[in-house]
Amino acid sequence: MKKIILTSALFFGLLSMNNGQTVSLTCENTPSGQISSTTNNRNFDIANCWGFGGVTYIESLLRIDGRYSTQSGANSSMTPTSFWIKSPWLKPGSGNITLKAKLSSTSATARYLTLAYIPYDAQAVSATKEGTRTDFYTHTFTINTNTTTITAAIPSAIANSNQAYKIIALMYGSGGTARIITDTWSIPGTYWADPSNSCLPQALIQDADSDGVADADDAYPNDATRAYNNWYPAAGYGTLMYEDLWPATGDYDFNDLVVDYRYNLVTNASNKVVEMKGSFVTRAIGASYRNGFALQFDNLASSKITAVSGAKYHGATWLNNGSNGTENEQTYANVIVFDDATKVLPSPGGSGSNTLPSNPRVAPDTTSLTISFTTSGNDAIVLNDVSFNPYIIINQERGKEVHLPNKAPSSKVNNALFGTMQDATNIAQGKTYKTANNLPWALNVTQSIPYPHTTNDLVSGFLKFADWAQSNGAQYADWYLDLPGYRDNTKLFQY
Amino acid sequence: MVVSLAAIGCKKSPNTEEELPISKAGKFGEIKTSPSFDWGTSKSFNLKVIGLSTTNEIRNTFKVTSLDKSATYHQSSRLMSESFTTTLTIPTYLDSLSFQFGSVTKNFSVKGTEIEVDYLINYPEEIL
Repeated sequence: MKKIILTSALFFGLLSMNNGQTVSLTCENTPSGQISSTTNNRNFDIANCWGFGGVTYIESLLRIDGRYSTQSGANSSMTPTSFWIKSPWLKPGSGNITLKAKLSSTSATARYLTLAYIPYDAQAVSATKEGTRTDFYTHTFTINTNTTTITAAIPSAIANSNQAYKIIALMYGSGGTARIITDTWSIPGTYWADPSNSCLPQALIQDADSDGVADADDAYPNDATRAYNNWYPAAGYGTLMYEDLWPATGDYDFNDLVVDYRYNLVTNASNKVVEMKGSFVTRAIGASYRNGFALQFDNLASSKITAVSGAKYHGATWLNNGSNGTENEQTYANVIVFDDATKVLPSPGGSGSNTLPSNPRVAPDTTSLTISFTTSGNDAIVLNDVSFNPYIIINQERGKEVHLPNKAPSSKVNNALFGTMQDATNIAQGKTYKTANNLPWALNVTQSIPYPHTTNDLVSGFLKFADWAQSNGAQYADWYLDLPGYRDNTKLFQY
Repeated sequence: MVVSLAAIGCKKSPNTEEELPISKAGKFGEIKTSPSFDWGTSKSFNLKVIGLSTTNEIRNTFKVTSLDKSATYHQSSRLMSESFTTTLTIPTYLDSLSFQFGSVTKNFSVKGTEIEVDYLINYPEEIL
């Protein structure tokens, strides 16, 4: 059933800072993280939907209460709209509006402060939706610098009307240079503005599943256990590219296994991760090794995962999963996405798939993986708890893994392989899967890209790659984009 | 030729402070990089959002997107008064993003690993 919920009533209708009964302006509130100042405090009140026309905050000896007060410009014009202070939208109660006021000097012929109310008009053309102003009280200042408390009853026409209004004070006069200083405003009523919605009145929001996330923002408007999709990459797929001769270096065509990926971390209205929906597209196998592909979630306990579905297994003898679908005997959560790439992307003949232009193409295979996470109490996880560490398992040898550079291996890695042949891994230093010259065995590109033909060096196909790497990322950070001069497509497999 | 010259990096001579040019690698195996280079095409940074105290508690969706709003890098349900920090991962070549909280929207620069934003904006003075 569709439900319409008043935002403030759902969350804190009776718990406003002013007990829902008084709307105040004291000029003393400072934004978090900023120092108290005339500018910062005025900005705070503006952000909370107070309006000021020709009015600043002062910290001088002329102030009335606390450290700051408002001050108009020199009110020597009888035009009432030159200098004004306007409240946020509020629902007026009954009783008196009070504020303290004084003149900055005796240089004045006359000075006035008029109070008025402005109704909310949904049909108004202006973005503020303000209707026609009605003046209801005018205070005439005695020309001295004494502080006076201005008191004016809420007009009966609007008191307790349950409608949204603004109260505005118009400051004007004639002669001289005296300014009008005010402070300590108190308006009986309930604050009714929404600072997150252009300071319009708090609106009724459509929230069909009552999870607190408006339907307009809720990717699952009828499912209270889900709210947001968090895609990675944010747009389209990324490409993972591996060399599988580790710990020896290979031909650097980075097509021994090519997997495109995109995953969605679905969160609920409490910003807890409910599930991961991953799409892994096996595009190419460069040679004959029967590599597996897996994910490790660094620093995440396996117990945080409640279920895994969609993985593709073909009887690998080294598979050893628990009841929740994660691999047993691991320090962190590991999920085997598929155990044998040659089974998900069979070769059309010879060795490999989709790396030799002369061979028949094989349609890429998609593995759609769903990982469910616990959402109970303190065991629930947030987005930042999910650290994506994809790797290959070389040729059915479970202890032989290839990770992205500087990514941690799983608990099942054969540590004896580190530091052999061209590998210069030093786990204590956080250096993994790099040669002595810091060259990697895997790359992660946050956009789907073509990959080199077999035995074509990556550098020959992506013409800005070497510049990028040799500048340590300072130049051509976009080396993988399809821009003029960036690629030699004769070296790249477009599939 | 100009492109090649522009692509040449430098290394210091062990005997002098003179910087010597490094030839552009013709093959992957010839590439020379710093040990700290992580080969990543994405970068992560901590975004600290400074909450704004409000008279009534206001909840809305906090969203971080590309400047043209075509890509969303973060979404969460937040109180406007809530200060929080979240880690975002974006393509390395991006240097500006936008955040939205209801109608409050601001662009911010992504330089460094610690970025701070708030909900205060410069409101143009109303003319009655």
